[in-house]
Amino acid sequence: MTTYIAILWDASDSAQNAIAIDLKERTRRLRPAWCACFDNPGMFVSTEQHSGSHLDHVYRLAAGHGIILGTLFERAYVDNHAEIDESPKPVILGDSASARMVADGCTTLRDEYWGRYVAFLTAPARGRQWVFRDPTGQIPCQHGYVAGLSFYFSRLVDLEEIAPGPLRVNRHFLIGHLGPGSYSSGETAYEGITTVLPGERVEYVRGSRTTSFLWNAVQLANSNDSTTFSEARANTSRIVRRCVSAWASGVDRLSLQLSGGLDSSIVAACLATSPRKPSVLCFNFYRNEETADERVFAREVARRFQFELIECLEPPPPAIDLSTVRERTVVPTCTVPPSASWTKMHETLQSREITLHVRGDGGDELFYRDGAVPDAVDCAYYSGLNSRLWAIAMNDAMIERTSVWNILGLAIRLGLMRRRYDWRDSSWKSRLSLLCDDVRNEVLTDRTHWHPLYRGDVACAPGKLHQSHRLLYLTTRFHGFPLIPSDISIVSPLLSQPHMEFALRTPLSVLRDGARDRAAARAAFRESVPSRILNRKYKGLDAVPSGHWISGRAKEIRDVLLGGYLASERILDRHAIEAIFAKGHVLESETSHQLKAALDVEVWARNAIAHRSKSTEFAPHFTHIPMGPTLRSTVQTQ
Amino acid sequence: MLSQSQTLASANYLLSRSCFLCTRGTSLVILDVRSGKYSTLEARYSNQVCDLVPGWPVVKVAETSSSAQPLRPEEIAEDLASANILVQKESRGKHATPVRVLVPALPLIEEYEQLETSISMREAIEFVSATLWALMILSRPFGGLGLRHLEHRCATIQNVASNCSEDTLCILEVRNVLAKFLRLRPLIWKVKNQQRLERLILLKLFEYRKIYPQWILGVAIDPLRSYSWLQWKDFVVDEAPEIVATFTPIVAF
Repeated sequence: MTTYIAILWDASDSAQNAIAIDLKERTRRLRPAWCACFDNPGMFVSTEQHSGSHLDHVYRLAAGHGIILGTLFERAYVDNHAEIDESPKPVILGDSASARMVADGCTTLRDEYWGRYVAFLTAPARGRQWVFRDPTGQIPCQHGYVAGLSFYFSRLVDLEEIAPGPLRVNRHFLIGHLGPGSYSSGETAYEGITTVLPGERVEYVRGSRTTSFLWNAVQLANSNDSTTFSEARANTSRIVRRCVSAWASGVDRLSLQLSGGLDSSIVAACLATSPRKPSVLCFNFYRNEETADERVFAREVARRFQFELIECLEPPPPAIDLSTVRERTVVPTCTVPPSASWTKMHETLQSREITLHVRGDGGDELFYRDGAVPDAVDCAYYSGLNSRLWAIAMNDAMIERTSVWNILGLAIRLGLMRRRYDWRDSSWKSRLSLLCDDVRNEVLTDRTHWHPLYRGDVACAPGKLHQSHRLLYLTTRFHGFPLIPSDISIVSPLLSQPHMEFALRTPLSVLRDGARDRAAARAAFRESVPSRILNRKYKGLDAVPSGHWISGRAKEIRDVLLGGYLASERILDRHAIEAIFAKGHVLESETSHQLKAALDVEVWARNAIAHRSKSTEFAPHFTHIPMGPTLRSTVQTQ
Repeated sequence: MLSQSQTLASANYLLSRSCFLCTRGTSLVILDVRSGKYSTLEARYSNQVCDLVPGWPVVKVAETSSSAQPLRPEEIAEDLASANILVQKESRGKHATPVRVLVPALPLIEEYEQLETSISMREAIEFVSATLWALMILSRPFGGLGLRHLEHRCATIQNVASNCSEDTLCILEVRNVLAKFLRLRPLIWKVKNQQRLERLILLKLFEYRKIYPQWILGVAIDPLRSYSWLQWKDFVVDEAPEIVATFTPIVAF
């Protein structure tokens, strides 16, 4: 994972220059192994160099126009319709490309390149600077103010050590986290620290900061594209193959998490035909339950492509970790530590010197498995009553096992008549029973918990809007969780910008043509993926029920919840918690899910508060640099 | 060796005719189709009555099972008798052997397998009539479809079925009936809780072709839950085998 810090300031302000010098010196002293890869007036970037990872690059723009951290590929490699039997060439940013990137404020970067990156660009003559996080969001990018200077970082520990200061817990974020989930709101669980969201561009004009979405998922989803099924099939095949090939192009061996489902099998098929033809080691995780054992499918895929397969029996899940000594993060993380099989996989990767681990994440959202509303709603929304509506409604009814009359009713109400519809996933609304009344009301009415693009009324077909929201929610979850050490890069090649754009533009009824979910993907890989997997609808490996973690530790968990931050801040309803434990309802599915979410937040908050009291003692020598105020950023869409 | 009827006559207790049972993990699960109620019995109690009830299965004992002194077998049997699970009259009882069903390994049609089907006017009419019949069976004036009614209905069908030879049936014909049903199913008006309705329609459509799948009820524990599916030989008709495999069959109508 790319690790970095970046400091941006107004170079014409002498006070800020002095502080910047102090911070730069401190970075060099505390991170001696890092490389100060960009040091110009108004912008300083320092990054950790991982010798093992082929995805941690530093791309320098010509003429000191800035720097891009991460991995870049040229868009032409994916967009080229001709047969290509070679890996993408390494990207070198020449004078022309650099000049265009700066001239149009990262638009060239968005349109002509893709990958996973965070870009820091500067045009000193125009007094402008830009920060752009790529649309996949696979490199964390947090922002805070240090004495008025903008401080960007990927790991909290770097901020805390280089610019220490007491961080306050952000109650507003935590409330949202217990409701709709506030990862995509742009806030973090600390006051004063925000996240640059995937696709978001921050622009500085002589020190004044504004944000906008240079890559706008809603606009892409609302493009009302007229792609046919045969075009979608061909494009899916080309785009996915090229994206997977690009990610695998830098290594001779890699590992693949092969569940036996459609998405990871498609990635396996692409790896097998990629120009570099890397050696692939597959891992299949299974449990001793009928619905969580898909080894038979994983074996079939591994056999077909002659990949080595290691089957990992998931041991009984480890106990929930209620200790407050853990790696520091800007958002609450799971209280369940990584399983023994995950650790074993990591040891195997290290022993075999594999530095790239590939997963099939994002297939449900991009190939499109299911949605909140039938595809016929979108068809009626864009085209009104037309000859295709009946066929699409029949497909919906067959997929959802429901009545076509019900589908048509929804299509007319929501699509044709455009009746108001709360497209947001409403399942979270039933998960508020542990919250105090006023907190519950706040969660239900406060739209700042949502992604900025979805806070107002958005004119877009409901199905596409929901698809784009699910996709953005997925990409906003990369906050640098300590799942795996930084010497191994985890990549989800399906979640690549060209594929995301294609999937968002393509009508849902095309993606699920013929009453089959992920139909275009199934058709695109019909020759490569075993037919048993292509014909399969069922999806295995259910998550371990939350009740499992709570079972047997009810009293301890009750005490943690009632004796900490959430109770003292009057976020949790004490009576509701006591009643649940008194009546023995802790193992009920919905209740245990809520308790687990509350525990994650509580343990994180205790950790944050405990660390806060330590940190003020830890760095008294740097207390002259206080944390700046949280600025209200304006959000523009373009 | 005693015949089953001789065993029944000499037994102390018999399983009530309305009850069915199976073992699942370290428990015995009992279904009373008359009341529609499921009950579980721990191995340490259940195994006590093995000698009193012919066919009563032995349940695997949990490693961490309580060492508390169990009740006497007669006391447990009396408790079960008071719950109408065991009876003493031969005319009201039966052998307690759990149902044996072929373990289904394959679906009749893979979920996304695409079969070319064309639907004739006669088949469309059959679908409508099967739907009306199923709606009538499930409607209030007819008292809904209780498990007991289902048992009776299926027993009638099985009587007919026993007079037919299924050897001549080609699996293609069975798949064809299901494929046509899947094409027509979206036309059913009813939206919610239609699993039972769909299954009844499907049964009727199969019956038109003299095909008689079994209606299986399965159970799982922790938590106790039940599930049903149609099965023809060792093919699951209307579910994914992975889901069906998580349940132990308790009744096969």
